Amino acid sequence: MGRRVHRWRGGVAAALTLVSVGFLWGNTLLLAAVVVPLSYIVYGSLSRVPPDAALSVSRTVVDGEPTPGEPVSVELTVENTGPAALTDVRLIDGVPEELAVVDGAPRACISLPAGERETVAYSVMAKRGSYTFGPTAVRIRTLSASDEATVELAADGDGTLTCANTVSEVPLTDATLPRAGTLPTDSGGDGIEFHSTRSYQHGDPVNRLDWRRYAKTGELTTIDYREEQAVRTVLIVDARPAARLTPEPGYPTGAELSAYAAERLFDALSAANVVVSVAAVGLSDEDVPGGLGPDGLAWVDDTDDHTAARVAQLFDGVGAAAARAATATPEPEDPIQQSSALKTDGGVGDEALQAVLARLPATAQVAVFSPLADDWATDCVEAFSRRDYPTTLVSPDIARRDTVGTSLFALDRAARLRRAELAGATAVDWDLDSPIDVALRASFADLFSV
Amino acid sequence: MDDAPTDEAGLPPTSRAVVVGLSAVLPALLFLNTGLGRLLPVVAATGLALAGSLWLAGWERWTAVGRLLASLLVAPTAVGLLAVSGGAVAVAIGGGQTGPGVAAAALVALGGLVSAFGAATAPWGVYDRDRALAAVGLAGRTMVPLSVAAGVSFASGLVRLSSGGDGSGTPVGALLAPVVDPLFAPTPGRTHIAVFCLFLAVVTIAFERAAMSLPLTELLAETTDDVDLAGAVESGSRALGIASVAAVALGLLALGVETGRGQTVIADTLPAGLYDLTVSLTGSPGVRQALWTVLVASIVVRLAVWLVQRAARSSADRLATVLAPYVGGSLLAVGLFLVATPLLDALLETVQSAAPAPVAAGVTRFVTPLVGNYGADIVLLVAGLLLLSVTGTAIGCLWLALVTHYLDERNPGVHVGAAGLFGASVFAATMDVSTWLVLVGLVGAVVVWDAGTFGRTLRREVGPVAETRRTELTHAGGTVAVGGVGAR
Repeated sequence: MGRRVHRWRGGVAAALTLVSVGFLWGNTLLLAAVVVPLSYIVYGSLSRVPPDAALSVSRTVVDGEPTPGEPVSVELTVENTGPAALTDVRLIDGVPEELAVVDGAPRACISLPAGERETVAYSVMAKRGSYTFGPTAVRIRTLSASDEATVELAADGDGTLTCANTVSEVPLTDATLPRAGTLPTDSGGDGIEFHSTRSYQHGDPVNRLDWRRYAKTGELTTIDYREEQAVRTVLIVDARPAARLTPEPGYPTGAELSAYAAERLFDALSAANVVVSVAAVGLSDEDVPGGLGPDGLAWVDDTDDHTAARVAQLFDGVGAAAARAATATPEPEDPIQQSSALKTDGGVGDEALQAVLARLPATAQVAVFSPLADDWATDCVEAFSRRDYPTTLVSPDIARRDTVGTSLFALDRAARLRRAELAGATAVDWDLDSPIDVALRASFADLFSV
Repeated sequence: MDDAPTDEAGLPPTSRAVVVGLSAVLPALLFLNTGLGRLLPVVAATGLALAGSLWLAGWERWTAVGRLLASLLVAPTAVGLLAVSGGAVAVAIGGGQTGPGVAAAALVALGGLVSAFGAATAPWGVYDRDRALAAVGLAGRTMVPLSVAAGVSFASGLVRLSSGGDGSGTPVGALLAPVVDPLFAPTPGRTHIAVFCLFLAVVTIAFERAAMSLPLTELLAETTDDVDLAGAVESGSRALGIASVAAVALGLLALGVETGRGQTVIADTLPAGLYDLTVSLTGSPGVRQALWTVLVASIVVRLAVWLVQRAARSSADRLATVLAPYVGGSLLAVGLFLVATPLLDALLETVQSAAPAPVAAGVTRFVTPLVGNYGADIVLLVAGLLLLSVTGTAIGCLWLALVTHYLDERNPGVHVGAAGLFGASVFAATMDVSTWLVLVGLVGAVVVWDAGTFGRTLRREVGPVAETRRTELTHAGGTVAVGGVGAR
């Protein structure tokens, strides 16, 4: 799309001024100097964008499998494929709105002789999910800047940034669960390990009769084995507004990071045939397809083959809630401010905790994922521990400790982690500089070795 | 293409260097070649001060400090504006120029000043509508304390302008004589009951209002055991009210008698002793002066109480922000009071030594009788007010140019700087400056404008992070080349 820019019209006024003053003062130099502004007027009028100007754009996403919060380098290469030199080429890459540019700029202004190419590099902050780049907007101006053409070019190469690998795609060998999905009990019944013998009762299975004893003594006895109850692992994601903190604009929020960690663990457990339920606290009806349950929880049980899809929708809902919060209210400069402001809003959290407790199966193992922006997650852990649920707390460390406020926030968070440990839970402190897999490998064996 | 603004106020570094460099170097060359070289420091300082006023007026983090400094900058800016234009005229006259030559010199100086202002504001986008409006407001508020000080000084010295004072022969004294004489120089040997009573009534009302506005009850209650203090204050107020009404009534009655029946009737009616007492009391200039002093003091107290009441209802930040220009103006007024005489003497000495003889003689002829009749402090205060109004007018013109869309609001500093350089080059051409310098000045003005506007769109479209130097240099090179071809 071409457009003429009449930026040299002021030359007429300049010429008139020169003529006027020249006549008033009787100065021939000023009259002759009219040539100067007239030259610029002609210069602007004759200047045109070359009709055969052509550009090609290609994009490379350097790190194809980032983790959330990790900067991803993007390189955009522009080549002048036309015959004429282009002195002023301005371009803006179509970075997905959800991704923040953390280094460099997806915008550039370059001069490109015919056949030459130039590369623009920048970095975006990865977030959970898959994001598609838009077309690259390109504006070409002439040397006089009085004519311009604007086009949108589809870039060759990488058009998507995906940040949603599953645990199964990365090594997590140490986390192979010894008896995943089962919980040994003290009661006798069906099972493998010997528990006790008792007198035969009518209806006992024939294969559990102690035939050797019958052969020796003639008494019918029945062998009981140690019963193994099926257990369910419940992953609870703290997605309340208090957890939607971010250390800097564009960085994933604490809720999103918690959801990411939960998703990776869900994939690992599913691959190991562990029965898993997933719950998110703090979402609204619009965040989850079909809305929340009657108790205000977004809860998915492992019931059929579509469980994985519904869990993915739930995690997407956490991202949507975080994005909505980011657009609805400005991010506070200091996370501690938002944290302390939301501490008093305990009603929703209390109701959510009661709802979770009401839904937990008697034999559940619980993993809570929270940035620990307030006491809610710690309260949950203490409540679960009091009821003898094996509990693990996974907390992404979003405190940067570069200001007094964030340092205080970090201290607060450390105290909450300690509280969780004292309550008997396993606390996993996820340092964002290392992959979550490391933290999971180091800690989750304990959870399943009960 | 996304045209969302991205830090669009400023210019990229290369464009900034081009704009600042050419706007600084070319006017300097023009000044040196037109004999105005001595004005260069003043021009640069004034341009920077004017730009600094706008910059400080727009401070958001330290608003009160910014406003205070901006208000203090109003005075040097005004002095600079006057010095640049006056200096150029003086230099031209001293060089034997007349008429068009003097005008051309003044216009070259003003062009250079505008160019300096543009160079100071364009790189960072300091000149915009909001800042200009804020600076105009600050200049106006800075003038308030000086106006009040001048008003109080004038009121205090009003007695001197009556027939009995040493300022009666001045034009202002002659103008005010019909009002001032009946108040402060009553004709001796007769009664002036009407004027005295009405004057007394006005003073009484003013005093009562001032006294009642003071927190007497609250302050005295802590230092006295009188439980009925509020009642006493109320009684006093009522008594003053009755006294003022009685004075008005007596004054109106006396007005009819004094104008209708004459002094003889009054002298015959009143006992001899009482008549003499009335004559001496109502015709005494000392009593009138005392009443006038009470009136002025009452008004000052009432104003001060009103200000304190307003201040008490505002937050500290808000108060500091609002009061900053008044504080700046007060500092200027106090400074003028303290150094009035030596400052005036120094200024006159400077004029005598630096200005051409006819100009110096004219200034001396004008200033000396003024100082003699009205005093150095009031003359300087009025001069200060006039000076501040010069700055206010200059900034007001800058604001008006934006409001009326005479200037493009997107970084108008570029346009102003280029126009200043263009004007200076044009008028320098009428002052026997070399042809090449005039042409370089004209092309330079175009390059300043072109680099500034190009850099602004560049900054707006690709943001501050992108590398743009090569494109900027290529573009500026093209503009210089075209100008060079045209000039040849």
